[in-house]
Amino acid sequence: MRRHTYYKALLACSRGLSRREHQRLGRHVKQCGECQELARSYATMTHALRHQRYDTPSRTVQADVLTAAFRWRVRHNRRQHRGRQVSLGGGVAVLVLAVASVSPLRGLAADTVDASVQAWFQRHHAAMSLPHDYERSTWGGAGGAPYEVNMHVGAGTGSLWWDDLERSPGPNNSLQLTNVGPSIPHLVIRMDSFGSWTPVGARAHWSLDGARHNAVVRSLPANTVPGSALGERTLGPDNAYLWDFGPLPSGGVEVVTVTLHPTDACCWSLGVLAYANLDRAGRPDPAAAIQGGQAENSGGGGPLNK
Amino acid sequence: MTEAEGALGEVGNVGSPDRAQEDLLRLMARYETPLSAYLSLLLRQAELTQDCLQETFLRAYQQLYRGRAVNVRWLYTVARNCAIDELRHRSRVQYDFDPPDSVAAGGGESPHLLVALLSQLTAADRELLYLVDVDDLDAATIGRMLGIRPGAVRARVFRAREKFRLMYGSLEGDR
Repeated sequence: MRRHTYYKALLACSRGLSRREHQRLGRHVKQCGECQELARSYATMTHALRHQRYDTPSRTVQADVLTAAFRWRVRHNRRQHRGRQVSLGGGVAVLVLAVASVSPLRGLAADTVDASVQAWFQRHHAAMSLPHDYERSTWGGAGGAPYEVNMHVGAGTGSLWWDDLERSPGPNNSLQLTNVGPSIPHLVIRMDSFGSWTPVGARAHWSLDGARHNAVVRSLPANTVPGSALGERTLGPDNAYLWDFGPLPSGGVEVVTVTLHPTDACCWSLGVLAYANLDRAGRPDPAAAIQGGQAENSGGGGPLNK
Repeated sequence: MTEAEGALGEVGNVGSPDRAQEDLLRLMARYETPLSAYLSLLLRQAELTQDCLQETFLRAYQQLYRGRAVNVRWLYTVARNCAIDELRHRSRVQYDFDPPDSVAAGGGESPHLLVALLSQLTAADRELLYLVDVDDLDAATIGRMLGIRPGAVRARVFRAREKFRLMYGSLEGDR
């Protein structure tokens, strides 16, 4: 016959008991008034502990974790893929995203983007794992360290296109996108930037080269954002810029070049997302998300080069 | 909860970041609140709780991304170790915790009395009662977290309950 303390211990922590233990305990409790009283006491204790109020998590935990996970994945992939060469269907995918400043500039095409699209992005912001915390401040220096990002549109809608992220010296950075899959109906780029800077001014120039156009350059006029429009800002819908570049056929190469002149001091980070299709309402289709990338500027400083 | 109930992730699910993120979001939806409460009991500081919570789920994502399974025991163990590291980092040789100020009683009991009763228990006893009664973990899971056998867990929980029962019983007897 088992000792009484054995059954008391089972009563104290009865979760996860085996079927045999449950049966033994049940038979014992039926016959033992002391253990019946004990069970009632433990139930009261459990009720009291469970109905206390405990601290709840912050509302930003999920976004913080997703951002940290995204950054870890970037570093992890970089370590895995460093030095790997990429060739695509007879073409070389080389898009260099040129971001030299932190100023969020509005592309001309964004003026044609429906307000509902912006609202949609606002709602899905947290799920997009966009960066919302800058890492370093940049003071001094004559210009930013150019940043090179290689991205490839994967096979089919919604496939992973992130390839590599590394820094390399050079006068400009640009985002080059090569479609290694079937044609996609819409290449929609969303860029989010954030950071803080001295409101001096900034200038951006966007150009788009398409291989399917036999290297004909389609350039957008430079955009100038006056100093009064700059200032410290955090990531938000006002900082998101959307461009619908239209269809991107298989093997097509798109290059987006952004040249921004750093202001006095700035630190920034830029998130890039691409979508391969629009939904019926004409908004970027979340099911058609290609992938996002990230670029950071570690340079900066110096007066605006107007 | 048993380990089987809380299992997420599949072995061999390697190199699929989209699936890892889905699993991560499901993990967070299910365990974010209970882990936050558990960490707040251990750490008593909101900022540290947030840091450890974020670190726990980031490590979970890394596990999932590498195709390794994540279950409830793994989560609680990582969270507990993170909390202990934080407390040791802050020059506490032996971790201890008191119920946070926000702890309040339900069912009509005075919050201050329950807090006072809990504070009279040792830190290890408070943690055990919390894991068993609030987070509903079984002896096997807790045993793996603490590195002891399930039978030893039950014995410790029994002793902790007896101490609390005597204090709580005298509280009810006074009414």
